[in-house]
Amino acid sequence: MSVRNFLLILAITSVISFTMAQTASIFAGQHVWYNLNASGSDVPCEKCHADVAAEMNVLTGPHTGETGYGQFKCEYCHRFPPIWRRNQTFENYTYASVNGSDVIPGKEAHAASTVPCMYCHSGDKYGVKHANAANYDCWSMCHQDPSQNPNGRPAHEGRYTNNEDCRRCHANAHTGDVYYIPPAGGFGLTTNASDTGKNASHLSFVLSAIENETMKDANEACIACHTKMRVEIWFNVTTEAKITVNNSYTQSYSYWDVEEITPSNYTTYKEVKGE
Amino acid sequence: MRQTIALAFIFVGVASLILFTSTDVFTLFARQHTFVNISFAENDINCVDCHHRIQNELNNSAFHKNLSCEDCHRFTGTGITFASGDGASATPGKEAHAAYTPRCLDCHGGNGTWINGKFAPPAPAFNETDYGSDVSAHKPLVKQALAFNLSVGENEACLACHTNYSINFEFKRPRYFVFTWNKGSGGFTLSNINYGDTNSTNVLKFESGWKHEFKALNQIRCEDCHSDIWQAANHPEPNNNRSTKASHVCWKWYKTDSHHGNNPMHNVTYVYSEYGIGIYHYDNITEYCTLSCHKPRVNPSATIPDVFKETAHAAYRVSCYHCHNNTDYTNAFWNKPKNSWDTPRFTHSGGHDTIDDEALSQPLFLQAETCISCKRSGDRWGDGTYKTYTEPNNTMYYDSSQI
Repeated sequence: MSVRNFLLILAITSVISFTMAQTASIFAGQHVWYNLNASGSDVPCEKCHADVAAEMNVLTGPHTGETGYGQFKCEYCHRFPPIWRRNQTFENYTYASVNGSDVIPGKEAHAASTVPCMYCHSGDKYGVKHANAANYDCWSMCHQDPSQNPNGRPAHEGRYTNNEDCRRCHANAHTGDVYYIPPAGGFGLTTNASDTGKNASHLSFVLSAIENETMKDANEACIACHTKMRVEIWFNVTTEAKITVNNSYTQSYSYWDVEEITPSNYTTYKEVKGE
Repeated sequence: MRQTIALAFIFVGVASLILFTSTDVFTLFARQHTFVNISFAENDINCVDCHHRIQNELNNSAFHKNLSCEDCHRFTGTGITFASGDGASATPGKEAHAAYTPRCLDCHGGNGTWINGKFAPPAPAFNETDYGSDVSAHKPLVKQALAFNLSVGENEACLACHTNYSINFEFKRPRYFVFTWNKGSGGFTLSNINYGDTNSTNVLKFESGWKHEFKALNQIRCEDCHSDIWQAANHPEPNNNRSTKASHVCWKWYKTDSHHGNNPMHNVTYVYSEYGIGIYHYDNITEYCTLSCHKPRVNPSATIPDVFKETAHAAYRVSCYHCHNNTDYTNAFWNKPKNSWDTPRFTHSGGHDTIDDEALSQPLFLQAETCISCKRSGDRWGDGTYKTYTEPNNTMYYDSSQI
């Protein structure tokens, strides 16, 4: 072995020996734990869902500040509270939570779930519930009292006790009034008996969305129209009808009898929303 | 060895990439959390975003292009409650959420409707109870369109004529009629009536197919759906008896005696066509079909046949006998080629005066055949057996001789 090779091996060995003493974690910050001891969700959803947070800032509309009291918190929808006025086919979930010494393990979901839009929008009440009451103390003045709520329980089972949370959903700073959450009527999916949906053009879309398991319930249909999501639609439409007409007759009378009307000659075209 | 090293590098590279990118979380559908504000007055969700095609159709439409989507599809005249979010409040829909598919008669029924300052006129006859009288030729189509329930209400019938929706008709008729006129001392009697087997004729009204392309009224042409009838009628060439070879309509009568007639009102050569003779009193086939028979202009101060006292939509179901009977309808009809009010020739008298009653006792589709065949035979006293083929055929026989 030459002196040159010996020195080279020595140098490499030294570098290896030096660096071996440093141990790097595979993910930095993985041992800095969030404190879950406060009420509500303490893990910032935006950390992983910055794109969603950015989307929520694009427009001021439903859920995004149209009430004048700020955007919805993630948990309003994704850790949804018990709602009395809803179509009871929707289940309440138990999410994992820590509130002081009160630890609740999750059942159907841990941190969050995707929510059917109709969970909140399938009731039968709408419009102003309390005029000029937007700035009242919702919880302490009224809704912690079971007798003040339709189901004889504290509102939302006591999930929300501060006014800010109440107002973001139920109040409107511009009118000063307190509202019911509006049902998405017209598809026969709310608890209102007069909501038949029998004339709704988009009924089959909504019902098919419910059948489709890509998203919860009818959400595909809801967000297709009510959000800026890009939607590609393939319409298959009839361009022709076959009409069979028979000149029927008796001994004294003849009349044109339309025996059949059948749609035919279907053609398909694409529509893209959001481009 | 080199391959192994290359694979090792690729593996390490892909694994690193996965490790690096797996910390990013993507939403299933981008922009699903950007909600459209629906709190403004009227509809805030742009229908055209998903229905560009419909907008393009309306841009090529003679009617309705000045209406908004909401004018028709959120029409409130039916009592339907649509979802709306005007202002801070909201109204949940009941029968419909964003839109409904309207019946054409929702706006064009009754006495018509005003929509945003524009008047939707009523569709005559079809706006009446049970779609009006049975003399309205297209009433069965409207009734059955409702019964078949393919679209909403009667819309298929409306679309068939008023839009570029294509229609493939199959018309079924007896292939021919056979009948015998017997001349006796009491007049003529009709006997030995037989019908041929059912003959099907296909007529394709071929259009772009788009149902939101509404036609101008002068674009609705009878012959588009009834080319079989026009084919039978459009034979001006004379037969050996100097009558015409047309069936379905006749305008040239007899040989050379005093009863020779040439009624310009029904003259098929007076309509512009491939057989036209250069004097075009009728602007087009549709005008000929309607003014000469199926929707004539009637004189309001004259005595007119009862059938024309009824309201019909596009055309009346009539035969020759509705106008040419023993009643005097003096100056009852506008004869366009003559440019004057005109009186239908009275029909049969003397030895012929039982013909009307005999023919009128037969089904409507046979009545005119008795007229046309007799005229084509050239025999005023043409008792004998006739065989007349139905549309689109125009062939007729009198005692086995083609006439």
